[in-house]
Formats: sequence, structure tokens, C-alpha cells
Amino acid sequence: MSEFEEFIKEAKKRKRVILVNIENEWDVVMARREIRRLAEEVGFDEVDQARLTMSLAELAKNIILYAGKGKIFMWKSIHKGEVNVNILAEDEGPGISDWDLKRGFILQKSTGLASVKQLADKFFLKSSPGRGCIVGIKKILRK
Amino acid sequence: MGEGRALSGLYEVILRDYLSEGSEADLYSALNLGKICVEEEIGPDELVGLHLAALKRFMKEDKAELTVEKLLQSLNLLVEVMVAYGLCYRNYIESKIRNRQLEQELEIAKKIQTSLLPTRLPKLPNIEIGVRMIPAREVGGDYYNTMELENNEIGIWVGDVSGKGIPAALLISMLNYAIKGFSFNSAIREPNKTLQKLNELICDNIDTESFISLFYARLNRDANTLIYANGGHEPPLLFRQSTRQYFLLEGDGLVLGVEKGIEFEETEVKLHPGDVLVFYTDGVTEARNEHQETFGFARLKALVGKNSTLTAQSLADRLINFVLNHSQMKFTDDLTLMVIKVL
Repeated sequence: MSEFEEFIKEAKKRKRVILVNIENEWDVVMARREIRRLAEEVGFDEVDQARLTMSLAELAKNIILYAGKGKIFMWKSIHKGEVNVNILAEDEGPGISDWDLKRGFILQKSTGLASVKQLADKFFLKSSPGRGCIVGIKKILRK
Repeated sequence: MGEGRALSGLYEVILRDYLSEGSEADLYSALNLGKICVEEEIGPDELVGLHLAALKRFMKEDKAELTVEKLLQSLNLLVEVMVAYGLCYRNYIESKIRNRQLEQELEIAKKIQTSLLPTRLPKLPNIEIGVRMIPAREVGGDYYNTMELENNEIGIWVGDVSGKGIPAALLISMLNYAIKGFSFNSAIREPNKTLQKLNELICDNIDTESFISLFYARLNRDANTLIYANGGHEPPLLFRQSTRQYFLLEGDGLVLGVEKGIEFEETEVKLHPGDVLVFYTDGVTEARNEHQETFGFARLKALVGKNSTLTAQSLADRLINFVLNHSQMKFTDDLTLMVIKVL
């Protein structure tokens, strides 16, 4: 099982996962509030909290823009003594073609994904045309 | 400045709202504000100034006491703006660097292209040649050449390569060398055979999406004949001064580089003293004015007839000036026009 597949499994199976359905801008605000609370609880400073809320907002806006609706999962995890905050954004929208992915098109264009990738410690993306899009990010707490 | 003032007003509203309600929605608005600041080219120093000014006004107008808690809370908003700003700024700088590289490449392409065009035209006793070419800002794909061949002939080439930029410049470079090679090869003298050979060469060496429209003629100064073949190029115009008739130098033939094995029709026309030949590319006839109306072939034809007594170079200059006036200098494709007069 690939690292991303495990990441997805973690999002779906964990007990303490926060799930927010994304359909409109208010849902984005609500999800931001949740991730900020989670990041604060874990011990991220205000700047990293802002980075996480920004990443989440970009992912959520992409869901609304391209798929209309979708889900955002957030949870904290501890792995080999490392504390992480994780976000998984999932939609069933039109997806991204392999061709666009290969060209890096989606990461260069102003889809906001480029910013999300820059801010994260780990970034996963899985998508194909007609089958929606799953994006995962992990941010590690630096001590 | 207008945007700056509007932005400071917006910042103040968001900050005031956030300080009184501490809402996540305000922080979300701040994120969008950070992005706008980069687009409006507002510097980070100005942004901090904006924050400070908004904070001061809030204290003054709302008579609020600025506690340490409030100050820290206000900084949350600034952090939000700055994180978005920092990211957008990095992307903005990266795209600027990319654009600069692209511009440098275009500059190189332009140099390649102009270095391939003839620096001087053949000077002959009974023939006058005039050329005017104006490249578009982006590197286009126009090509022309004239050269003295054996048997008192001159070769005349006018073409247009598909695409723009470096790929077009490279294609022209290849075309130029091939043309030079073929022109002095006595085994293939006929324009139709030459185009056929060139077509094979181009089909074998360039990708299927590129193509070249090319007109080739050999003008024999002893016999006063023009033998030509046309590979899908705008048909040149022949204006016969003595009878004031117009002829189009058409001929069967596809653009080069699309299909192997195609043949080109060869035609011979007799030239008379006073005849004017006008070769051009589609940039000339398709130049548009503000109403999207093209310059068009009919206008070109009428202007050639009216100005046919000018020297070849003056006529080329005048025709191009008409095109420039028509498009109000806003042409997007190269403009190439060559005039040959039989004296």
C-alpha cells in the first residue's frame, strides 16, 4: 500500500477525524475554524496556523469551483515521535487529466494547488478525468 | 492611488470587525486581501503601515482601549494577510522570472530570423526590386529571399511558416539553407520540382503540425518570363501596366510539410515593360482595423493600380504604410511585401 493510500485509509478509519462537508463559502469558514483549533491544540504557532488555514481554504475553494461539493477531513497524528496535522480534500468532480498532471499545469496555474504544495511538508494528489480529485497534505510540528 | 485608498478602507472594516467579533470569516477575508495586495503591487512595508493606521483609527473612533490581548489579536489578522501575501509574492516573482526568460528567448529567435533574410537585394539593369518587412512584436514566421541564379535568372521566394517564436525561427533557418542548396543545384531547376523536393525534406524533418506556405518563381531576364509554382501561399499579384489588367499568380499546390508525394503545378507568364509584381504574406491582407475589418486583397489591388508608376521600393513602402495606417500600428502578424518592376 502506498503512502498516500495509507493516508487516505487513515482519514476514513480514524476515530477522531473532523469531517466538514464543503458546498459554499460558509463551509469554508467553518472548516478553517476547525483546522485552526486543531493546529492550536497540537501546538502550531500563529504563522503556521495561518498557513494551514490558507491551505485548507485553497483546497475548499477548488472543491466549490470545480466539483460543486466535496468533503474535507482533518486529523492529528503522531508518527515516530513526530506530531502532524493532516488534511484530506475529496470531491467527485471532473478531475484532472493525466496530461495536465504531467505538464504540471495544475500546479503552475492559479488553482491554488501550487500554494498548498509549497506550504505543506507532504503533498499527495490523485485524480483522473471524471473520477474526482483527492488531495492530501501533512504539516509537521517543528519543535 | 484610488485602489490604495479603497484597500485601506477595506482593511479597516475587516480589522474592526475582527477585533470586535474575532470571527474566522474576517481572517478568511484577510487572506483574500493579501492576494489583492500583490496584484495591486502594494509593498509589504505599505501593508504593515495599513495595519497600523487601521489600528490607530479603530482606537480613536471607537474610543477602544488597546490592550495587549487586542494588539495580539490584531496581529493574527496581519499574519493571515502576510502569509497569503508571501505566497502570492513568491508565485508572482517566479512568473516574472519565467516571463523574462521567455522574452530573452524571443529576442534570440528574432535575431535568428532577421539574420536569415537577405541583407541586400540584387541590382539589375532592367529589373527593380523593393522589399519592406515589419516583424510583429512576437516573432512571426515570414520569409522572403531573392537571389541571382545562373542563365540570367533571379529566384524569388516568399513564404510563411506556421507558428511563432523559436520553433518558427528554426523552421525558417532550415528552409533558408535548403533553398540555398536547391537554388544552385542545376539538376532541379524547375520551381515545381524544387517545391516537391522541399516538401519531402520538410515532411521528413519537422513535426506534423508545422507547415510552410511557399511561393517560388524564376524570372528570366533574357526571355522576360516568370516561371512559378505556388505551395499554398497567397497568390502574388501581377499588374500589367500596358493594359491595366490584373492577374493572380495561382497554381495547384498544398502548403509544404503536410503530405509527402504531392505535386505542384508550374505556370509560365510573359512579362512586359512596366509590369508590376507584388508578393506578400497574409499579415498584409489580414491586418485589421478597430472595426475588425481586414485590409483585404481588393484594397491592395486598387492601391497597386493607383501607384504603379512609383519605383519598386517606393511602392512597397507606400503599400505597407497603408496597411500600418489601416491597422493603426496594431498588427499582430509579420508584414512582408515585395515589389518587382520590369523596366
